[in-house]
Amino acid sequence: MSILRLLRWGVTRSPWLLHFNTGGCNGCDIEVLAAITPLYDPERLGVKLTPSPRHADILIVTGVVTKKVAERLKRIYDQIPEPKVVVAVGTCAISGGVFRGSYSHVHGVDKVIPVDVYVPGCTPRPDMIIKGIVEAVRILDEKARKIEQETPVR
Amino acid sequence: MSEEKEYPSLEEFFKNIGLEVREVKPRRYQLFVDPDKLPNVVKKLVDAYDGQVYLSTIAAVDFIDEKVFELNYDMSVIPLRCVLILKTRVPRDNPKVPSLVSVLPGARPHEVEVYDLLGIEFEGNPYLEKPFLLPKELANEYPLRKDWKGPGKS
Amino acid sequence: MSKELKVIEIPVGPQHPALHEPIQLKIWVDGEEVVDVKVVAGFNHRGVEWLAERKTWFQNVFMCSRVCGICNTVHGTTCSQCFEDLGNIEVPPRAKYLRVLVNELERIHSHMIILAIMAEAIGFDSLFMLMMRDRERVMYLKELVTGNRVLADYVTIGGVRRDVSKETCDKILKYIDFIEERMKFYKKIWGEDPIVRKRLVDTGRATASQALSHCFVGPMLRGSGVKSDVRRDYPYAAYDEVPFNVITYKEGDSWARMMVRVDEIFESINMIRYVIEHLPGGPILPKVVPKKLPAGEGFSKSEAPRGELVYHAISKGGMKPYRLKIRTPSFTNIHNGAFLIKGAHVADVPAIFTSFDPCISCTERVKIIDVKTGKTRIIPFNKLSKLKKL
Repeated sequence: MSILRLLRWGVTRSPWLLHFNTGGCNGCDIEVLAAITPLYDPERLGVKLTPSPRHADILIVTGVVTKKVAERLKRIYDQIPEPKVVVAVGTCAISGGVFRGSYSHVHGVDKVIPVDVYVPGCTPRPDMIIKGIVEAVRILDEKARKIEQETPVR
Repeated sequence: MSEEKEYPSLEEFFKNIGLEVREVKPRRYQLFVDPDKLPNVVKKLVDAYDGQVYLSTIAAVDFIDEKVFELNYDMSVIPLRCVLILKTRVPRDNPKVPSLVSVLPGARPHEVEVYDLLGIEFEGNPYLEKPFLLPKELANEYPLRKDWKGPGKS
Repeated sequence: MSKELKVIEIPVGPQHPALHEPIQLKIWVDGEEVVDVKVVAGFNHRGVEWLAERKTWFQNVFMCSRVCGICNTVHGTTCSQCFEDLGNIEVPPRAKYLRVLVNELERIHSHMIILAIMAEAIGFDSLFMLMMRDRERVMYLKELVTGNRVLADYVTIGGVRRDVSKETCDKILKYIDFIEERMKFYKKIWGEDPIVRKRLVDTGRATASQALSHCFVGPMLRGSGVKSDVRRDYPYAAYDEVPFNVITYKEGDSWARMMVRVDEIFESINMIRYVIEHLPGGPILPKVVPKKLPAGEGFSKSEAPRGELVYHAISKGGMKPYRLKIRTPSFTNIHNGAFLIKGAHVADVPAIFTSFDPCISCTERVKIIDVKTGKTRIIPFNKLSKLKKL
């Protein structure tokens, strides 16, 4: 089995999440936190939260992206190794939400980094966030497959 | 700081220092103070009630038609279980107020916030900085002033 | 400070998943002891006060609930009360009792989450998971009453939006009994477990006079022995009729602040029982709520789980406010409380900082600058606490 096939198996069977709050009200963050607790129990699926971007596969972004944080968001995105997937959780992360029109932020995560999965809601339930993660794992599998096919292995 | 000690009512206290306080709503008192007398009044207040006085916030308003900035010092006097609002006005073209940090160190973040968003200078506060909350692009702008037209337009 | 003080920034990503909004703590250290600290804020500044001048009164209640997602009903309640004060609008008694009900449910869930986060910060992962699991019952109760787990926009100007039925009340009483049983178990752990006490006792001590002169609010003030609670001192909603005790602990350290929160959960449970037994009949909204409010000034404060929350509105008549000032408790507590970190060990910094119950917390990066050698290192928040040698 080639090394890339092993990589794809590892990444999709046990995706590690990195959660980043770009300046929101914390509502979506506590639902993301609730999504990893024993009631919903995603750890049985191999999903784990990691503190470092270098170990992550999926980046979950919540919050309205304030201008002060936008540059750090880009930096964190660049540090995550391929294949990577970005999930924007909450209406604020998608379009600015209720704070649309303010002077202090960029309206939407997709103005800073490319987004693959959108989970709308104010706030979305933990079940919907888990559905978003499952969708993200599917996209991760596709991206890993593409890397496997395109990279020549000696 | 005993709870059984008898404290003077606010009307008595202010009469002793030559000012008149009004009870605008149950347990809410209000009076106008000259900006230069402000630190002295607050110091006497803190001493009279054994330090059981705290500053909740400084609500600063731009009355552009009257060409003044009005500052509302919302304070709370614990033994009397009431709210005291000290109001003061400074001219819009020379907004300078003496700082309260030497009397109440907890006033520091409120003064820095007002300086950042409205441009009122607090003389004697060494911690004033800009930008404190605002993004870098707005380092020289005051969003809460009524003549601010929006980011990049004034 | 050493002459060769060089600052090298090594970015490390965000640590804790939920709750924590980005904030930066800069710590100057001499060996293992913290010498100076600076809080860099502003990552979460959304321009709410600027937006509030451009939205109508009802739109403002929606927006202000989203200032903080964890204590959103308290923000909604205080905002509505501020506008009711401005417009002299009477709230029906049943609505006042229902506001107390949801505010206390909010307090229970907020205190449970900060206790869980603190457990994680000191390395007690299983306590974190257990408290979060039991907290789900409270979220279920919130959903029964308001219609959503978080951010239900339940409180509106004049009253509340939904009524509670008899079945809901019975369910609330049943689940509250379960939560009380679990909290008795947790109180024993927080109060008596030697490892928890060794991590938290004597760290970040603040005397009563320091707490008052630095204008702390909420459990931070009550943890230093000062008996001050907005629900008793400046009552709002139905708090003048619902009996409760103001909890204080005189030690002033991180342990005392967490114990204040543990005991407040028991008080909230008793208050919820009282509210359900004494719920008055009648409407939940007045007949007419005006769309335009007169000129004047509105002021309201309330006791959010983190402390005193103040709303001050100035109006010149019409559909929109002229100025709306919002003072959240965490703004005061974090900026004014940072001095407590000085003199502590580096490994105690997460415990002290979490005991402020920061609604803006968890530093994405904690930048540690060694004063003697000039070297910097960046350590993730949860790894910091593991540096402690017990």
